Amino acid sequence: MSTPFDSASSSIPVTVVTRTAALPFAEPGAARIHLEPALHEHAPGSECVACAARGDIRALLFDLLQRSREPGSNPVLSVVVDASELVDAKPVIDRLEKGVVPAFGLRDHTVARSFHLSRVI
Amino acid sequence: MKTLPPHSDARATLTAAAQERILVLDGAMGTMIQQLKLDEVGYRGERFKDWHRDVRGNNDLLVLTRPDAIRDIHLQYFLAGADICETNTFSATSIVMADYGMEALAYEMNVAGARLAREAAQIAFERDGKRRFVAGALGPLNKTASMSTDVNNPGHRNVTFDQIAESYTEAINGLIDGGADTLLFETITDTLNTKAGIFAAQRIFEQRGFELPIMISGTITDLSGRTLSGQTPSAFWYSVRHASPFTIGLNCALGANAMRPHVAELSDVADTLIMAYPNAGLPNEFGGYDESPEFMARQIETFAREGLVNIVGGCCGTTPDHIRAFAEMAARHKPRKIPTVPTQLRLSGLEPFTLTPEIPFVNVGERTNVTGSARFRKLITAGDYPAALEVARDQVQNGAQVIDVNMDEGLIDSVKVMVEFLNLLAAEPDIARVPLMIDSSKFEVIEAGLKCVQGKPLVNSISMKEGVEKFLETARLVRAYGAAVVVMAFDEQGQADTEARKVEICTRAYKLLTEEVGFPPEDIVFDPNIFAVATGIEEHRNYGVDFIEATRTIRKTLPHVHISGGVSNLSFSFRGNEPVREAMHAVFLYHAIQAGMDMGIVNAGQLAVYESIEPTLRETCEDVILNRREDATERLLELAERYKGGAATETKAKDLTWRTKPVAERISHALVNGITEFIDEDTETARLAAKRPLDVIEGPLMAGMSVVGDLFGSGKMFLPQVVKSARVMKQAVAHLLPYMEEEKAAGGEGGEFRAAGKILMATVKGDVHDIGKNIVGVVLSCNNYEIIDLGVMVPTQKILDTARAEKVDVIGLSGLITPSLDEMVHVASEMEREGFDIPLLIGGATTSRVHTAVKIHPQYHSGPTVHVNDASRAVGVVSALLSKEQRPAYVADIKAEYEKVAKRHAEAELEKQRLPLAAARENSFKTDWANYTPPRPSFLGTKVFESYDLNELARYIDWTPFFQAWEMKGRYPAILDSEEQGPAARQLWDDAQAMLREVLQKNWFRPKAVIGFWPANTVGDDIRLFTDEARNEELAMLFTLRQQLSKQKEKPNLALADFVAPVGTPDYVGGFVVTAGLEEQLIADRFERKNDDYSAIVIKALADRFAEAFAEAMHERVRKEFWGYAPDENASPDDLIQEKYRGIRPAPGYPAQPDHTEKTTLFRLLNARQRIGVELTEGYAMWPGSSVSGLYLSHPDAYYFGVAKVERDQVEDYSRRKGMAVREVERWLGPILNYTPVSEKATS
Repeated sequence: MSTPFDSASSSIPVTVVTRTAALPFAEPGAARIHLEPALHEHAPGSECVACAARGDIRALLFDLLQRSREPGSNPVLSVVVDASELVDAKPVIDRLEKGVVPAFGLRDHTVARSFHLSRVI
Repeated sequence: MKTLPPHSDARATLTAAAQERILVLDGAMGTMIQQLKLDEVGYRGERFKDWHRDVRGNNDLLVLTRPDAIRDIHLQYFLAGADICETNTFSATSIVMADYGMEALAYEMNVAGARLAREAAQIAFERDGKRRFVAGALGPLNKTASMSTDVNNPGHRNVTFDQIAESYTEAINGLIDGGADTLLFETITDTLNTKAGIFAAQRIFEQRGFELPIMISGTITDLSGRTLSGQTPSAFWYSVRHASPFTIGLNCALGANAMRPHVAELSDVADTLIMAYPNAGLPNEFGGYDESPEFMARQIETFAREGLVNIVGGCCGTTPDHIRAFAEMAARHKPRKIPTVPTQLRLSGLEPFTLTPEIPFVNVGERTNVTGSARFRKLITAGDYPAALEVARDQVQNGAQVIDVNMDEGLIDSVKVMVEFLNLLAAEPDIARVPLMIDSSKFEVIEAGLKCVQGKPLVNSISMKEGVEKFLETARLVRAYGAAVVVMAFDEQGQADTEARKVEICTRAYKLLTEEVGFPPEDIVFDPNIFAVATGIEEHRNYGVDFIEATRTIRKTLPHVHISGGVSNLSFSFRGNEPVREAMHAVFLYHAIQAGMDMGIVNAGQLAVYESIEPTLRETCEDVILNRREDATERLLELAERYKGGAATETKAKDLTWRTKPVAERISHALVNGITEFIDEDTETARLAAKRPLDVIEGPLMAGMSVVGDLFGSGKMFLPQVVKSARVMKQAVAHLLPYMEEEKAAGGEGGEFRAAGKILMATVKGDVHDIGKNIVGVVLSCNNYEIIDLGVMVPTQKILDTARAEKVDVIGLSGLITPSLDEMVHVASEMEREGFDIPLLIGGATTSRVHTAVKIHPQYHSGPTVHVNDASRAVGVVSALLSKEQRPAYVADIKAEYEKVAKRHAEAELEKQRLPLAAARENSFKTDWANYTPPRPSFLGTKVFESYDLNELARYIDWTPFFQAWEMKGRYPAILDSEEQGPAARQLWDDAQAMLREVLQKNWFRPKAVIGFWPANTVGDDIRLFTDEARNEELAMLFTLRQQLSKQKEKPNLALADFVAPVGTPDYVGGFVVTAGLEEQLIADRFERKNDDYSAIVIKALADRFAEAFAEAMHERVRKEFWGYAPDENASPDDLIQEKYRGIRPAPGYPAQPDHTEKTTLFRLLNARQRIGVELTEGYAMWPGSSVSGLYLSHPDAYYFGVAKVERDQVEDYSRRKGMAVREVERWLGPILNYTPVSEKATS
């Protein structure tokens, strides 16, 4: 009996890397999310609620959590978010700090329970 | 001039048209507005030129400031072929407009928006005489009623149902006044918001005396296929079906292809028109969309071809050109036929629930009811919501399909508590997935609850107690909130007690509900009142029969309704005597369900099974319930004495009560709980009772193990527990063996135990790692497979010879280091050559599905190859492979999957750009060596540590991988408190700590280490070591590999050599080999001889942890003391695990230098074999296995990286530098080659 929203059994640390050349060595069980600049950003006036929700780091973590549950997948023990190409990583960090940016969907609660921001490099 | 007909006939006209053809909706408004390229001034117009806030981006405002432009966009869409255009009022609600300080303009905007679209429809109508329609757009809000926006406070809500209804009321009134033909709730992200909108619309229709068709369109943005508020498409449909929508469908999101499965799901369940209008794919980096009209039309055509849609259109990124293409496409296809959906009760939480005939009885969880559960009442009055939520969770886990929530307690504010609890519950997806039953005797509490749930709940209950008027009023409200209802058999005269009264009241209520209110009969559940029996009062004697017989009649005479009841009332007079109460409930339900009762409020975790009730008790209960004997009650009271307090004593002596059960159950209990204490004794008892010793194995022992297998398979047991079960099993078998030998010697048939299959397991040549393989072996043996374990470093020929001699059914290969991957390929090709056709299983840390699919699978055509990387999958895979029925389909599936993986892999590889070696070198890591003085180590040459304090090392142990070795996912120490794995993890932890204490006390391990430092300088991509500080004579060359991945700007293409200074700046490099000692295998063997695989695996995993801890501890001393560049470093063990220190210790064979053969140089430099007894196997694994080696680099900017794939040019260069044949280099670097070597091409 499970739902896609089942939280990870323990909170997974997320490291956000904002500086080039600071990417840590991939330890076993570490998943990596590479953020590319401007993808999924909307021009002012665009009304697409759903797409704005997709580009959110929390949507990406939610997908990651689900994929890690697929049979045969390795467990995700930590996550490294490579935000070094973004001009400003603050929006990403804000979305990972619990309670800073409002939850947009039920999955944001799952992500908050399953991951925590452990450090910013 | 022709005038458009009024909106009042829109429904009929659209319905008629939709039967003929697929209708077309318009495309994006936002995309068209974007093309106008309006600036702040353009948005403001004259009227808002001095507005106090920026309004650029407020597209809805344009209906007031740029009406011409908006009208023109509508017209373009109508002329492109749209039958329906949406008004430009997506965000024109007071709630959203508050962002611009324009909440007061909401009504005006909706009037204007509808009017503009209608004007465009009029113009188009005048041109070609074709009727067009206007859908009044009602978008989602920026606030949500069904969930909290604050993850720290999941019970919080930033908006209420009533506020939303009020805001939508204003918008809907505007749309109607402006002339909209339909109302369209679209891009729905929160179903509860929409339910409030529907509620508002229906109120308005009632007031105005006419209705507009309601169209509903949700959005699925997650790959999980859920709405943002968490519902599946079907659950969403059930939540809004009470609006009798003219259309249901989906829009926006990830493009047409991603939408298809969800549209298909809705198309199956929805008995109304389906509308789909996806985005033009995903937005690109310019905020635009890439899917062309033709491309998208082709995608949507698949919807039409499969008969999934009645109306199509476009959302973000689509233009009039898209709509033109859609209209042309739509004309070629027939519209979807609306299916007839069976008349069944359909409820929803996050997931749908349909009461089909296959479900004989719906368990409604009763524990979250303050009137029924003392514990829950205490928790609620104490305000302990977390514990109260656990109660709800237990119910769902125990199989409740619906949960009843009741807060009727005199001392609490029921409305407030109901709202708080339901809001919190909404944030618990594993509870909220089931529908709710909102239970109260006060309708205000029910109504407050209904305003909190996005799913379709049940209301419990309404009745005619306060007269027909009140009954109709509450029923209408229940319907308006979209709930199903439980109706109590209760009228002005009181509760119905006799069969006749029950039937009469229910029949009357049925007529009122279906005829006056229009309530769907399948949404009605009657509760004909279960009353207490065996009370000693004469009139109560027939209550059981009255209920059962009334049920039978109601189900027969009132079509589609359901029957429910609160079962615990029945046994009220036996309070405190749980065994008797449970028996009464079970007996009652047995008969009531046969009569047609299909729902009940029960303790889902505590239902007794009718057949398993002790026969005397069962019969006596039956006498009472069916009113069969005069003295039934007396007899039950008498009998009940015997059971009194039974439950209490049972819990007290719980630990050993299982000892009193029959021997087969005792064996099963011992196996499930991993208890070895009594197993010899129980096995002996079973043997004496059995005809032959073998019967004990094939009987109770296998039966117990299959229970273990089932629990493991369903995730209720974890690996360490299963391995403990295996230990019990082995001990039992060991006890029986001498008797089986004896029987054989005496000329009996002997005791050949027939296993389900014979499996050969081996760690391949050159590799020594076997923890994972042993675990898989144990789990398979638990499931009745015979395991032939050839151990580690097994040559191919030995594997094949043994497989043939033993006639094994499956071969399983394991390996941890990368060269083992090639060895597995070799085994596979040899199996093919020697004519094998049995399944080949591949597992181990470096193996992967992709490698298996690309490299191993193609080598072995005659039999199946399957990648199995965890023990929990192993049993399923093996049983499928060995089953005559399942095998062909399974093998075909695997084959198809691997071919697909291989193909995708090949395509992906082609796309990846690699740099030529020269260019990669250009982009090496650069640092200012001139201004950097590398630190000098405190000594040069080597230093040996013959022994090391184990207590000291224990401090450095990183426990997380220890749990991973047991396939327990999670970080230490959090895993110990994990809800799911906690108990198993804590047990494993205790066992490991006990073992650790023994290791420490008895000094079981003798750790040894050797480290060394040498003068060094980088030469090209390699590091040259010198014999002394003069740096004239080369001692050795350390070869390194460079990343060739095409990098984003600024990121260097690294090689380890980059972190060492070039000639001219004196630098140094260190190296180390540490081992936990040779004793590990001896100790493990000792346990295995005692049939204790569990302890054998624990000790190996511990040794492995000690080796890693040793490497960590030694590295720290190197930094602080031996190299001494960080004497003041003060890192906690946790910091060490997270690598928060200066310098790195990369190991040959791992990502920064994937070439395992480099270990040879390191081992020679340190003379590791002679000094500490660690040697290299032919596959360059270290033996003993619990050893770690690596280099020490000190540069402050050094960090760990992965070389990833390399190109042929580097391999050729590397082989030249290293003096190793290209083919040889290719062999060892096989897994990281970005090309297919010539040698492989020739053979395949």
